[in-house]
Amino acid sequence: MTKLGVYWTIGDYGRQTTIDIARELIAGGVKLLELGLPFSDPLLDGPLIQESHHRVTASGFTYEDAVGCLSEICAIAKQAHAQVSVMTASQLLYDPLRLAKLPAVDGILVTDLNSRHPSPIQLPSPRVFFVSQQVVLSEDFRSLPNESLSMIYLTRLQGITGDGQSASSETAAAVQKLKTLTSQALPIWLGFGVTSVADVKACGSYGAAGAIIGTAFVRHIANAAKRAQELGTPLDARSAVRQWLEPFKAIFERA
Amino acid sequence: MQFNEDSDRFVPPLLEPALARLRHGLSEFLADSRERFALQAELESFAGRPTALTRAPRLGAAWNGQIFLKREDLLHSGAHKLNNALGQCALARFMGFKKVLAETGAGQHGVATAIAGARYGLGVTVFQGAKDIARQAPNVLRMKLFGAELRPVYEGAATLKEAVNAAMREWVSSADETAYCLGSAVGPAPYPRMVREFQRIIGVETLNQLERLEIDAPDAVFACVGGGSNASGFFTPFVDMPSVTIVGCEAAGAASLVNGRPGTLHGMESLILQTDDRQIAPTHSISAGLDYPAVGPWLAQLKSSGRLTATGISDNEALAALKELAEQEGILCALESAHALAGAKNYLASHPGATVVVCLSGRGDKDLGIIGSEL
Repeated sequence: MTKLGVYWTIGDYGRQTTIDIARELIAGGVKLLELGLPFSDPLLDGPLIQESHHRVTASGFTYEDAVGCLSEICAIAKQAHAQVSVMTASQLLYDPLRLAKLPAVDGILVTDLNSRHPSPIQLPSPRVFFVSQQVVLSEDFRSLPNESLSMIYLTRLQGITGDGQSASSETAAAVQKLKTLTSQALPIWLGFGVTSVADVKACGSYGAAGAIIGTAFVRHIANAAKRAQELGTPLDARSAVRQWLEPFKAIFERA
Repeated sequence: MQFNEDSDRFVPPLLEPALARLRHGLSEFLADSRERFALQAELESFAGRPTALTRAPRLGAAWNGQIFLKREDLLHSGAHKLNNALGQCALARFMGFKKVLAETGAGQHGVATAIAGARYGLGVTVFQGAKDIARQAPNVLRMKLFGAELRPVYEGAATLKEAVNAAMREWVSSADETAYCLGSAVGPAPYPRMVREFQRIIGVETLNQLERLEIDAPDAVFACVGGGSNASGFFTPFVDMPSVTIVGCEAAGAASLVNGRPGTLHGMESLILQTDDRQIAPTHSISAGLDYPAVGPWLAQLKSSGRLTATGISDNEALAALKELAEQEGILCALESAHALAGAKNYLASHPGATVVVCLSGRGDKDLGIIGSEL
């Protein structure tokens, strides 16, 4: 079975919404929560996720707020045997004092760490090895950094996060090559340009353990928030998550 | 704290292949004597190098020192940016690219890339913040006349930082067929050193011109600093001359060398203006070219090692220096360059009689609207 992971920017539409979303995603069968630390300048993200970062930073939601929220979500995820990883720009973790405040998570993905080098930041939890398909398929890519890794996040496409990008036929080759390079049983997850049930199934067919959806989920919640605002009602995030997960049930049930 | 202009530790993996190709291409380009000769010929016959080193006797009398101006404002396009744009576009053509991306703040790098693209037959797309498009209208028109496509950026404060964000995102998606002509000595390796290498001609010429005037070494050299392209190139030959004071003049509201703390942005580890929560801080400058919250790692290292002095110049100090230069010497410099002039003025107030060289990085025609409304 291909597992499903979902990206969300911590604090988007408020702390409680983030907690509600996490609870509902886990209850609905999502195995990996990838939580973004809000940043003023998210370099790899398309417009929708950029907007989510800007909503949070403009709201005054701080790193301390994010860390508190993260701790609560980690506790929820642990009970359900789901994983939590943090996705962040290096700038936000550059300070050791801030690093020390992070709760123990399953993995930390730093979006701007060169995949050829060990992390220059002493991460308090295992690194999510973030690598592009193009790098993996290059001839001189022959090993992974010698450090504690939780999983491999392979970018399925050459581009920023978002929709409308075409799939690559080389994904399966990249997944297979990575499998030959890891002595540890590191799960390989695919992300970037994954939006639908069909995409998730395709990722499974390439040999990946799971697929991560970001933009499509962020868009769904943003649309729900917009509708709620138009109606003058509060955002019902849990209901919106359940609705979004509906098409994916077929995948979970087959498992 | 050490900063390294050759570092690529903080690079998004999606850019690694493009940067590796660029490093390889640059190395081959610099090793190719025909290419180097052709670029040098282009800098002379097309861009107008060498630029003059002009003595400013009336300004010197007013400010109590001997002042020389390195006249990058006289370069074709009106600013030093063309040195680097011609270099990177020649490199792009050498590497087989047909399209080039660029970011711009004041518009000088956008104009320079548009010119170099037209000269070399490359399609050019320029990203510029919407705020900068509004305040630098003459350069916007020039970019279009030279055939560049302008992409407005509305994100955040809509200035240079956001233009770099947008250009880098575009490059992530199109790096296989597009070169990224970065205008400042910032970003991941090989950009900081490459830009410095293409701009080094400013400092080398200055030293030769001083020598012909039988001046072994000035007491101090001044350049404005946003990301640091003219400063890096101008300062390079003076770094190994310990008697020369090196002063980087930043906009007081965007002074990364003065107020920045170590961090990462745009693929580099350097001094970054940031909030207590480590978000990138908002900046302000009357000069769009200096309105950037970080500085290149080479200058950050010079500051960190104590070799470079940094000073923040207010909008009013820059405007006053620009006006004095115009009145005393008949030269209209860019608002960016006026920060270097103001730095020299402040230095001479406490070092009367000193000999100083100011890099006049660009001319001020583009700023007439702002100058008119402020003076």
